Amino acid sequence: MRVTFTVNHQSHTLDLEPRVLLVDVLRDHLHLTGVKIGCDTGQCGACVVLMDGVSVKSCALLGVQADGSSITTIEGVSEKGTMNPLQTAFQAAHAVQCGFCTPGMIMSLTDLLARSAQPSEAEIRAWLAGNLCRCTGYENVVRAVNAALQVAGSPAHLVTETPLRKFYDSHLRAMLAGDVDALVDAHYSADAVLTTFEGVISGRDALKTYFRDYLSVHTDLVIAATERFVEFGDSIYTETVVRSARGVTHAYNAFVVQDGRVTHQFAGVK
Amino acid sequence: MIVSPGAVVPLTPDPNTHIKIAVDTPMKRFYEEHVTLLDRRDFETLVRTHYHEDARIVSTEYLVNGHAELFKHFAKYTGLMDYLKVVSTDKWIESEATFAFEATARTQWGLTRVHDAFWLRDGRIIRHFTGSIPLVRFVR
Ligand code: FES
Ligand code: FES
Repeated sequence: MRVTFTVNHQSHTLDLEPRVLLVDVLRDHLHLTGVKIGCDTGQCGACVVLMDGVSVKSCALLGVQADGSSITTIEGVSEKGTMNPLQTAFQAAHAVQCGFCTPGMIMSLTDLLARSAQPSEAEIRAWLAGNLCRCTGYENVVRAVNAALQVAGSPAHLVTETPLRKFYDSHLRAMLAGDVDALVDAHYSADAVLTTFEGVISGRDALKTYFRDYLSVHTDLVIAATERFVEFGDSIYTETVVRSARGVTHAYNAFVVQDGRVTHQFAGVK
Repeated sequence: MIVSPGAVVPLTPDPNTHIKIAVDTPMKRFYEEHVTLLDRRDFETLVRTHYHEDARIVSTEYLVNGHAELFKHFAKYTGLMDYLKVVSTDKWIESEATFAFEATARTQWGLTRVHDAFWLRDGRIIRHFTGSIPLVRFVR
C-alpha cells in the first residue's frame, strides 16, 4: 500500500506491506534507530513516538495506519542539533544509564508536557506507567522533568508539536497532495500576500492560480529535507530541500500566521 | 562603500554603490536608507524610524523582539563586524507593504549571500526575516 506521512517535518511516500509495524518502518525504512524495540508487544514503551502530537507505541501500530499523519521521533526533538531542555536535564540528573528506555521516555514526557504545564510528581509517575526502565529507575527521571521545567521557564519550550508546527505540517501535506483548494482555503487569509521574486500574489483566487501553476510544473514534488525550522510568535522561517520533476532546489519560506491563517508569506530559492 | 568602525558616513549613499537601484520606489528608498543607517551605525534612528515597537526579526541565528532587543541586536551585530559592504543587490521584489531582496555582501569573514524579507505596517517594519549563505570564507 502507498502511504504518505511526515516524519520530523520531512514528507515520505512509501510502498508498505500492510503487515509491517510502524516501528519497523521508522527503523528499517527510514533508519531512525533512535526508536527502540524492547518487547515488540506494547508493554515497555521503548518505541514511543508522537503521532499528530500524541504519544503512541509504534510497535502497536501498523505503518499504514500512519498514512496522512505527522510523526515525531527522538531524532526530531533536538533544537538546531542540540539537546532540548528535557534531554539536557535527563543527562544532568543522571536519568540515563544504559539509555535504552530514554527515547521512549522523552517522547512520552513531551506529550505530557504539552498537556500539562506543571505536572505533579504523581502525574509524572502515572504517565510513565507505560515506560519501563530496568536500570535507572524513576527517581532521577522525575527529578529531570522538574529540573527541565525550571530551566526552560516554560513547558511550551519542550513541546515539539507546537500549533505552528502542526500548521506548517498541514500546509505541507495539502501542498504535497496537490490539493490547492484545501491548501489555500484552510491555510491563507482572504487577503493573504505571497511575495516571491517572480511576483507578488494577493488574495485566495490568485494564490490558487499560482499554486496550480507551480504544481503543474513541479510534478512529483517531495520535500527531501527540512534543514531549518524556526518559529517565533506568529512567524515561521524554514529552509527546505525540494525535489520535483524540475530538479532539486534549496528553498526558504517565511510565514506570518495570524488567527490560524497565513497573512504574509515570502518565498525564495537559495 | 567600506565602513570602518566609528567612521562617519554621509547619509546620502555612495553614488557608486550597487545598492543605488535604478528605479526609485518608496520601498527602494526605504531599503537604501536602511542600509545607510546600518553603515552609519545609527541604530537609534534605524530602530526608531524603521521598526515598530513590537517588530520582530526572525532568523536561524537569532530572534529579536521589540525596540529594546533591537537596539542591543544591532549594536552587537555591527560591533562584531569590521565592515560590511553590499557588493550587489541580486534580486528585488516589492508590493505595497512588503519587500524582499537577495544581495551579495562582503565582511571581514568573507563573501555572503543574504536574503531578507520585510513586512511593513504604516511605513515601518513589523516582521523582518533574514538568512544568509556563506559563499567564500576569508582565512586570516
Ligand atoms: S517495543 Fe513497543 S512497547 Fe515495547
Ligand atoms: S536507562 Fe536502562 S532501561 Fe532505562
